[in-house]
Amino acid sequence: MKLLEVRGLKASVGGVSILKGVDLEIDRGEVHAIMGLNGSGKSTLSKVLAGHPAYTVTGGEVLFEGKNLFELEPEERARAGLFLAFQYPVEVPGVSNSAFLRLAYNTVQASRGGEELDPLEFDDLVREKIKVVEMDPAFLERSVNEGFSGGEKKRNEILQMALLEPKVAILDETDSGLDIDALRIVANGVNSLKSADNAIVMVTHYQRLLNYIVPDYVHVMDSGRIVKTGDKGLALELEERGYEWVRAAA
Amino acid sequence: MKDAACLTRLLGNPAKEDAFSPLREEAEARAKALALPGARHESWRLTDLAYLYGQDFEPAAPGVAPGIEGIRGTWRIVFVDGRYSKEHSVLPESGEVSPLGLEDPALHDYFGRGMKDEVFAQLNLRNFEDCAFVRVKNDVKQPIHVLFVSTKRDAPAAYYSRMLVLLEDNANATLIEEYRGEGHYFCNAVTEVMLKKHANLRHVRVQREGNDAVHVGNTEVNLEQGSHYDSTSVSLGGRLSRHSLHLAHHGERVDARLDGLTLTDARQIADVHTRVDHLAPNCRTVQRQKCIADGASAAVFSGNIVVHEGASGTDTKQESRNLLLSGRAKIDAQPQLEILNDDVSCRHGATVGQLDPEELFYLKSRGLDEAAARKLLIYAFAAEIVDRIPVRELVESLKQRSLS
Ligand SMILES: Nc1ncnc2c1ncn2[C@@H]1O[C@H](COP(=O)(O)OP(=O)(O)OP(=O)(O)O)[C@@H](O)[C@H]1O
Ligand SMILES: [Mg+2]
Repeated sequence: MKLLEVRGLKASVGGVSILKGVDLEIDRGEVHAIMGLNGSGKSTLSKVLAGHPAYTVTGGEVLFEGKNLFELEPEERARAGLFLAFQYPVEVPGVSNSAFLRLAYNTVQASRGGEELDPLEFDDLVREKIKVVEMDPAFLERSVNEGFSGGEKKRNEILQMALLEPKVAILDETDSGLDIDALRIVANGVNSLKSADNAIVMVTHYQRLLNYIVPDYVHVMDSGRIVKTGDKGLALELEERGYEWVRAAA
Repeated sequence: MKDAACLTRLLGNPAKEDAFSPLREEAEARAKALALPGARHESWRLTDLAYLYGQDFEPAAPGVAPGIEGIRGTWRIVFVDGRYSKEHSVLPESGEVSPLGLEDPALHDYFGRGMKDEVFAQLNLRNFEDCAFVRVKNDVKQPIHVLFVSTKRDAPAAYYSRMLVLLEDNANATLIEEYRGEGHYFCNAVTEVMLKKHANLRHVRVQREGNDAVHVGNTEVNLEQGSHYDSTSVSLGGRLSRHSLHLAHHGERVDARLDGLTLTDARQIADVHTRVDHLAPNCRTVQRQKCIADGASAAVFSGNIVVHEGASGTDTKQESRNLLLSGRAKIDAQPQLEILNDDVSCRHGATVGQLDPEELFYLKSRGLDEAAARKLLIYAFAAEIVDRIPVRELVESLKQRSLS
């Protein structure tokens, strides 16, 4: 049984059809990259998988460890091990980052039969995990993402991934907004979280990220479908030739 | 004429015979002349008083309060059903906090002077039993907790809580005024505050009456030159509640900050009316009111700032932000400015919103269920007000209360 199987997935938002039959299979230990033009549906796919209420699934199916993903609420998907690092992480004024991280951690731990931590114990853990993204602990005391720079928000997303230990992590343009040093740091962090039991799906526009986190598969999305799949060489080819030839061939 | 019957009932018992008797008599006459608010009273237009008028309130006989939980590290004066409770109080020996003695000269200068057109304040003056007296000459380091508790009883009872606060020149104090109770009762509260020159008061008011209570409170604050009044008022309890807060800036360079939070649910009605009179030049008022309404509840905020002639250099800012959590709940928010002078800077605004679905989804995508995510966001909205309360223990207990 694969970790995640997407079959003929169709979805719409506000009556407009965006995903028009996506097929994708992801297994443990794999790294996937999804590339494609702006507006081709990459973020829509990510959010549909995470359960965003604005999108309506109109066809196809998704199995997560063999079970129908769409029977789960967004929070149940998170607890089951699906994680989305948002392209645009949401600011939550008034909610302290550390309190939020602990609440999320303990909720997910409880659902998995793990140990919940009190604030002091959690502080030790989060200070350990924060090293993965080399984030300043001062960000723990601020409101969730409020006033964070683009790059700081992305680091905070990966910190959440480090804490929640997902089985499938979808990173939607985590590289955009990161400076060159930060990209290396965050990519190394993601690599350190990679294992034989989990899978990583990166949505990206740039080869640079893929130099650090080397994908086993590269998919090209176009107008709501995955129109081509290859190995890491495909990303290099896209970088050189653009998308037109893929679209022409599809 | 339910309001008339209610007034008759509230005046039904003979007035207490004591040194306040002349004041009580005058108050009775004024209350009768004013009458209880009916539909014709503009300032009560948005607040349905049927719940008050539909009950026959007896004057509260002395009750016995169950164990009372205070706040660590505070002086405490406790009133049970409007009567001073020595056994529950912890007073400083230096005498800054006490039940108001009849012989105290402060009485003649400051007691019962204002609120002559407030019928409920007049009823309070006619019927009150005891009054808390806070008088600070220098600084009190520990916060002063004035706690009014109502005991549970079989028939609906009316009681009167009263407090006089006097800070002398340059004095400093932190005051926590709190209302709690259980069962069907009507708490009529009056608070009079006088800040002399350059005095500084941090005033926290917490209204967490029982679910079936009626609470009507009148607060009047008179501010002399250079004084600083910083208030946080949280209104959580009661089936029907109203708080009228009136500030008057009498001297130059008065600095006032008014933070308010109203939380309503189920069929609660909560009304906050504030009025600030700028009577002298170069004073400042910053007001921030938040209402959160859920269920089929109704929250009202009317905030009036009046800049009088001669009050040049006035600086005011008034903000009203509101969160509507249910389609059946209602919020009426009306910040208002009256300017009788042009050399002023006055800003105000009001917004009403719902919980942000993107924020909710973000929290859920990290494992929080709908209820936990909503709580967190609701608290975040309230936190801006509550977190400023300078007593940690109180902040925590309010958090728990508003999140349960
Ligand atoms: N809530 C929405 N309402 C209306 N249109 C939407 C909504 N969400 C997405 N779309 C549309 O769906 C299409 C796909 O958007 P999506 O964000 O999935 O693209 P993307 O591949 O992630 O693009 P980018 O590379 O720019 O991030 C776009 O045309 C977008 O405008
Ligand atoms: Mg996108």
